[in-house]
Amino acid sequence: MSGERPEINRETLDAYVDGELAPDEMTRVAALLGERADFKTYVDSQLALRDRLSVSFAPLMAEPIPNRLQRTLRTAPPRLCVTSWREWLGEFLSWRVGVPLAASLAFGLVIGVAIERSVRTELPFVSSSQNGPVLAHGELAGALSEQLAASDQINRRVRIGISFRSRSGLDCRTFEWLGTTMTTNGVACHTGGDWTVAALTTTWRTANDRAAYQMAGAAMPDAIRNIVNEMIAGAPYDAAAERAARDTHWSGAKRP
Amino acid sequence: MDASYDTIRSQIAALVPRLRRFALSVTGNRADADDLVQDTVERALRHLDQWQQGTRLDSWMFRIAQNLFIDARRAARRKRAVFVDTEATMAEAGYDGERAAEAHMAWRETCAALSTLPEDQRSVIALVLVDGMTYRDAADVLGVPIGTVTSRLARGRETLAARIFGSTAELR
Repeated sequence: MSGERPEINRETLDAYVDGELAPDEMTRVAALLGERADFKTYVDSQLALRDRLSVSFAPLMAEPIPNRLQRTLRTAPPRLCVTSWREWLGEFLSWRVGVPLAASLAFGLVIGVAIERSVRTELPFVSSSQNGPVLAHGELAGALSEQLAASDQINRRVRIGISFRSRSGLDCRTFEWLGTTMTTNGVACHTGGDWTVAALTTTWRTANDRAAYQMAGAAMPDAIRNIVNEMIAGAPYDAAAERAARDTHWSGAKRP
Repeated sequence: MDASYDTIRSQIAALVPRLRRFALSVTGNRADADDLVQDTVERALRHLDQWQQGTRLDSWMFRIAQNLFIDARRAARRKRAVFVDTEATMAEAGYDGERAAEAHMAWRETCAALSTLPEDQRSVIALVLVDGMTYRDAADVLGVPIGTVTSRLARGRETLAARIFGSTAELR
């Protein structure tokens, strides 16, 4: 560029100190520092200011991360939000749901799931249409239909928790899905031949956590427990009732 | 999102020292700074889907921190809370495990000087002079034009230099 070069003022010198000038301007200002003592004094004072700030905060940079923050980073909060049934009810009523679910509402069962849009693709075991219910599929659907809680569930990707009859007469089951980076807990009910996911909550896990989970499993998260408490009629199934429900294809209240 | 959550979580952990430095620069005391970073990380993890992969994770997190800082200050003003003198708080806070007397003195003076700046100048100073961000990145974090960054920076520099060195170098 052959145009007239801009006058060098304080802002130019600031930009020089901050490394914000174009290379040719950096060179021009550097050369001028040898000729202009006032420029040199100003630049030196600004470099000293940067040094002072850097030195002042250096000890902080060397400190370990506070324990509270380490815990947060280790066990991130759920990315999927289970809404309370009261908050969720209004949304649910606008869904175009199948008859069994609509009927269950009439009997007071509130069943719902809130999944952040972008996370849906991260869950390979559920599917949902734009405004429809979330359905289990693949390995999760298979486990919900066939796997018994009393069976050997160590090293399985899906673990079944409790099974129970809902207040509207559906067979429902809690489950845990061990993903590679997160563990998802949920509750699903058998409706019209599908497992409709009522609630999900997901927690990230470290590799160590996963190893421990793989062996021991974990307690049901409070969010899921609360939903189950809202839904359940009577006590959870014992092993015999669970087996009977499976053998009659989770027919719920229609079971003889 | 292609990167695994563990990878992103590691990247966030790696940003924590910078976030703490920023938080301490703007809040002026350790307790508020740690709360601000804690809130920033929690919010980032909760809303990770809002971060566009391929864009700068650090800019996004600094933006969260800055917004939380502004929100907290507004809320505090609404409550008409009586604050402990910021300058005194900053100077007394010190560093955990501080050993070098010289560094401690520098810290006290720096904090005292920073506390005299208006919040908007303090944020720019924290991003550009303390963290070393470019003007463009700082403007992106703060959501202001670059010209606003440079003007706030110039005013902040002048005040800081006068406070720390006792005078500002004049140009002919």
